[in-house]
Amino acid sequence: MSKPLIQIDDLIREMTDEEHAQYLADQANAPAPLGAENDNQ
Amino acid sequence: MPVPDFSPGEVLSAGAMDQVGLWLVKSQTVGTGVSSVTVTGAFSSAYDNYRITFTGGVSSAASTDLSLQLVGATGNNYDTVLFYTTFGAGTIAVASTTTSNFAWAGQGTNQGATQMIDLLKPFLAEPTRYSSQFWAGGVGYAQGRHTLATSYTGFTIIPASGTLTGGTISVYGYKK
Repeated sequence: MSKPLIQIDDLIREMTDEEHAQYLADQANAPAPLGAENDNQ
Repeated sequence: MPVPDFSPGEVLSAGAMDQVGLWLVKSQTVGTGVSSVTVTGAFSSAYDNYRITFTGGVSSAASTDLSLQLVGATGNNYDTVLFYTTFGAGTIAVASTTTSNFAWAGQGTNQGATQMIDLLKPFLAEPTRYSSQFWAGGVGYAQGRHTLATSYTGFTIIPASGTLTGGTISVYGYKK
């Protein structure tokens, strides 16, 4: 299964295992989203 | 006469140019379907304070919060407070968090992503200060600090869900 894409300046590639683990940890640690509704302001 | 006073054919003097208060440091076009965008080489000794904008892109999520993380600073050392209200509510709510990035740093929607952030002293070996506009679900204003006295040269924009496509991230330096 492919991992999410990460962009560093002009380079776009799949996340490494380490980057993916950090990404998932950041997502899990994020505060509850306040923009859940599609308000499109 | 305000300075600088630019007119067609005028020679721009160093004195006039030195009065320019906000200078474009770097622009970065966002690719397609990326879960984060890192901009390197954004902060240096040339400026102490920076404005970051992101417009023109869209998120795959109908609406998602965006966050900002300093490159190399992945620990839970970001304190952020958000003052916000929903349209028609008439009351101010407050939210706060300590996490691994500056939260509530703009909004991504499938009709457009919008960010306008000020970072104070990211390159100096002092705690970085942060302020941002916030629009998701209403309007708000976020303020925060990174508690480590460390120098940083870049940042990463991260949507809370989904991916980002297109648009331009611009970094401006405030004249010292």
